[in-house]
Order: sequence, then C-alpha cells, then structure tokens
Amino acid sequence: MTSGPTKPAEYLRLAREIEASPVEGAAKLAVLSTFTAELLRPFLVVECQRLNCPVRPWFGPFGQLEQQVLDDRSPLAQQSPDVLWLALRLEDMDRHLVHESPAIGPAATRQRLDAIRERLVGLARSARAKYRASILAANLAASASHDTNVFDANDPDGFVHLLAECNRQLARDLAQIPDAHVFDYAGTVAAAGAERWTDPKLWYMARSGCSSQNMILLARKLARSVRALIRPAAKCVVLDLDNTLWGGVLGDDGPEGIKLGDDYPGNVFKDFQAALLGLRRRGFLLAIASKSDEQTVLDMLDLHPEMLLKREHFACICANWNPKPASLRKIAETLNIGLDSLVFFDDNPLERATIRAELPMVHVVDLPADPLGYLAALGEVAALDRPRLLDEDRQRAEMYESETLRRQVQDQAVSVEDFLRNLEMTAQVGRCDASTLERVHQLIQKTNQFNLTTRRHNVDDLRRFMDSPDAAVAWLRLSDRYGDSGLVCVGIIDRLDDETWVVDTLLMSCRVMGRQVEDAFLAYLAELARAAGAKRLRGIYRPTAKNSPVQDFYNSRDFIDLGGDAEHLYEAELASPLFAWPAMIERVQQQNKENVSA
Amino acid sequence: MPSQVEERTRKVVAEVFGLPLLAVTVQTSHETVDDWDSLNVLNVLMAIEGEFDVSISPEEAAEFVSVERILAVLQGKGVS
Repeated sequence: MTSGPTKPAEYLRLAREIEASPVEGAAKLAVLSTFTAELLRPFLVVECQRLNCPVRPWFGPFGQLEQQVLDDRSPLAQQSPDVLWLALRLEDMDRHLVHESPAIGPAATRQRLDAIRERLVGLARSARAKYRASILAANLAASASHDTNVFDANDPDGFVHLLAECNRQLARDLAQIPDAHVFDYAGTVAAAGAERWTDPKLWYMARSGCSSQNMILLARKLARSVRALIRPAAKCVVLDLDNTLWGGVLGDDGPEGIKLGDDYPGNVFKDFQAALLGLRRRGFLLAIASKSDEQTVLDMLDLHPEMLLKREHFACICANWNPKPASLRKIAETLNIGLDSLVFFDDNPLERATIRAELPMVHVVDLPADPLGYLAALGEVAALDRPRLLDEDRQRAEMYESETLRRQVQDQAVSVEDFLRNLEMTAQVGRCDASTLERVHQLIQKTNQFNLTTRRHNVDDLRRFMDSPDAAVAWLRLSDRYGDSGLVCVGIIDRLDDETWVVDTLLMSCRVMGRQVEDAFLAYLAELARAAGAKRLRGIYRPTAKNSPVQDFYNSRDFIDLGGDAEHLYEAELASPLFAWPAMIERVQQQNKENVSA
Repeated sequence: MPSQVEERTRKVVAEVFGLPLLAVTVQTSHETVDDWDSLNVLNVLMAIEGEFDVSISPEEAAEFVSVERILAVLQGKGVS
C-alpha cells in the first residue's frame, strides 16, 4: 500500500470527497467513547477507504455509554451498526488511578482496574445481546502523564504489570462473547510512544484522545480491525524467490552464491522466511510463483541448509517461464480458492504492475526496494489480519499437505471407489452448540463455492435457529488416514409446513469436494427432518457469482425440480434411498466436543 | 499581491470547510461560514499546525475566528 496522505487538511478534503458519494454497502461503524472521538472522523473515513472497506462512522454523544447501549430508543439503537467500537480510556474511567496506584498498593489498584474491565465487558455483553454488530473493545493504555520512573517495570506488582494483567483478562472475557474482540489501543499507543500520544492542548481544550498525527495511526489500526471483522482474510501468500526469499538470483549465482544465512545481508532474508513460516502456522498457505527452472528451485528448497522454508511448507509451487498471472491462476485453481484470496509478494515492480493490471482482485504488496523493509511491509498487509484463530486455521497448512498425499493416492487408485475406500474416511455429525458456533459462523461467512444458498447468517440468526423447535443447525466433521479435516459441513433446516422442511443453508468446505461427504451430510439432515416428523425435504439453489460448482446439486440427486429464477426449488421424499449414508464413510459417534480456541 | 502564507491559509480553510478556494478570502470568518463551530476550529487548528509545522496554543486558537485573525496569529509566530 502506498503511504497515503500525511496532513490533516488533506484528510478532511479526501474524507469530504468520499462522503459526498457514499457507496452502497458501506459498513456502519458506531463509536461510543469517553473522549471526543469525532475528530477521528476524516482520518477513519479515509483510512477505511484505502483498505477498500468503506465505512460510515457514527459517533455517540460524548461520554454516554450504558445510556446508548441499554436504551432501545437511543440514537445507537437506531443506527443498527455493523461494528461497534467501545473506546473507553483508563484516565477517563478512573481519572487519577495511575497517580494513586503507588499509594494505595497493588490489591486496591487491581480492584479498581477490575471495576473498569467489568464495566467494559458488561457493555460489550449488553451490546452483543441487543445488536447484530461485531464489537471492538479498546484495551487500556497507560498515559504518559503518570509519574514515570525508569524502574517502573522493576516492581512485579507495579502499575505497568497490573495493567497488562487487566488487559489479558479483558481478552479472556471478550473471547467468551461471540464476535467481540479486543481493539489493541494499548499496542497502538505503545507503538507511537506514550509520551507523544496526546497533545496536551487538544486534550485540555477539547478532550481529544490523541494528537493529530496519532489520529492517523489510530485510524489506520482501527480501519484494519474493522476490515478484518467484515471482510474475509486472504488465504494464501504467493512468493517470488530471487531477491524476495533470498538475495541474488539462484539461476545465475547458484545455491552457494545467493545471500541467505546468519550474516548481513543473508540474515535479512532468513528473518523474512521465519515470519512467513509464522504466517503458515497461523493458517495461511504459502505458494511460489517464480520464473525459474523447477528442478533448480526444488533442489534449493530440499538441500540448502539455510532455507527455513522447505518444499513441504508450500501448498503449491509454480516455477516455470510462464507469465506470473498464469502462475497465480494455476495456484488459485490448484488450491481451490479464489484469486481474491491471494497475497502477492514480489520484489520486481514490473511483475507487481502486471498482476495489478491483469488480476486486480489479488492483494499486491508494495515491497520497498530495500529488503530491510520487507518485514515491516509484511506486517502492514491488512488482508492477513484475522481476529481469532480456530484450531482449523492452525491445521490448515497441514491439511493441504495431506491433500497433496491424497492426490498421490488418487493417482495410484484404479477407480474412484478404490480411492475413497483407501482414504478410510470417518465422519462425526451433530447439532450446533456453543462450542461449535464460532466455526459454524465462520464457514457461513466465508464459504463461496460449495454453498447452495449463500445466506450469510449472523450469530444472532444462528442462535434463533438453534433455539427453535422448528429448525436445526447441523455440522459434520471429517477425518481420514491422512489427518483431521475438522468441521467441514454446515446445514440449517427449518419447517415450512407440517410435512415439508426446507434446507435453508447447505455448505461444505471445498477441500473435501468429490468425496461423497456432501451425501453423508445430506443423509444426516434428512435424518433430522424425519425425526421432526417431516415427509419431504425442499432444497434451494440460489445462484451467485461463485457457486456454479453446485448448480446441479439437487438435480443430480434426483430431487424434483420445482423451477424458479432467483431461487431454484427442489423437493424429494424423505423415504427416498437418495438419502442413504454413503458406504465409503464410516459414521462415528461424537467423542469430544469441538475444541475451539478462545 | 497576496502572500504565500495567505494563499496556503485560504487553501487550508477551504479544505476544512469544503469550500471552493476562490470563495475563501481574508474576510472569511465564523460569521460567514455556517460550519465554523468549535469542532471545526479544532480541525482548522490541526490543519494549520500540519501545514506550517507550528504549534498553536489554546490562547492563539481562541483567535481562530477568521482568516484574517489566523494570519495575524501566524505572523505573530514569525510565519511569513
């Protein structure tokens, strides 16, 4: 991303231009704060726009928190926001705590911090119960105005550590509230420098939370957080090799000549590789798009002692002489993900320009000319921000590795049946509960291809389905001899009339397509409908730009076609053998609850 | 012949209030611009600080009621 405007007047002008032609579907961001947050407006509007995530901010009356959240007739209630930012500052909640802390001691300090945290968590919980908005609650930052002493951190019971503990507990508390997240205000203040955070004049005159330069930083951080809540993250990081993963050109300099190791400049590239490996552990896939000889590249990955990234870390390797857009298309196709899920790293500005021109949906990272800036550039990629990691995310890279093994089995197998049998698949099915809700919600939000209706139900909608006697929210988990694929199917059925139940939602992670998993899941949905007294099941196909892979889902399963345009309707008798559980998949009982990381 | 400081100040005021540059004169003030309220005074203040790389005190900010008075404050700070 380019560096953007730097002066307040530019922000004001740009924000006015953006707000003059509001975009359909701009997210509504509501802000409740204990300081004058309204000064942030132009900065927020511009920074969100720069992340391609337009917002319309609304600022609650200054200092009103509970009044706005709890009153059904409050201006906030009338906003119906998509995201709610709770911006409570430590010094506004307990004005003199930082100064008094040494005098009152750690126990009393802790108590007063707890009171603030509980108020914040209470607000988040009430807001969650009332509104459909995702919630961002700012954690607490120490202002520079307290009596700083170089040994502040020397006291294990000192304010610095008590505050950090309080923020940690806040993260734990918010993790218990669906779709509520920490906004790292403390981290933002620390990155800017606490002593330079506020402008005393702006604070004392207007209760502005920070100086005008820091409003840019704060808006940037908030824009990224908001974006991560309403847009899906990228899935795969596509990397160039020469002068990106190592210094020099492998084909010219040879494995001994390239720069990679523990001394400058090799250590710069080694650290960059370590960071990429970290991304992989957080669930992002890695791929290579390089114009070079494939065997030379594979030898480098397998044999070079300084390479942290090895062949098995890449879900897809395109080393050839084709244009890079072709390689990126190939990668997306091989991994079964959209081109808009790719982040592209390449030191060559020309290659970046080519991708921008030909594949505008790809996130192209503006790498600086100097590799010393690579790490910082990686840290600024908003498409790699994700609010929370689920176990499935951590395992994703391994899953794709086992996907490669599965393909090898597929190549050897003589028939599809043999292939499926050799996989030794086992599936667990169940109804959605609190422990599976987050993963179910995640799949509903992000599944595009194998998704019959693409209804993006929010957490509140899901709870209504879960609580209703006339509906069911179901899931399926899949394992095979190569590993655990996790929770891969989600379905929602609800009652249409006494004899008919409708499949409101049916989706599946596309990495398990072509393995009869959908048939097993359909069998389970039919079982649930039958148990509720239904005689027939109605299916819906709602075409979108991305779900053509399932347009014949019901037709090919002998459902009766009832027609329809925007929504195609189908029906089948529940007694039909088409609802039989497939023999290739062993059904196992639920052993333990879905383990969601909090 | 208007000075460069005057030009830049008029431009800042135009950007803050969303006015065409030609509509902003030395006489433009809180009496001629509806939006010239306490919030926008802060926006003018931040914009002027950013434009001229100066620090405006609260007492000086109280003078920010017209382009003319802003110019006087800037002149007092040696901006020319």
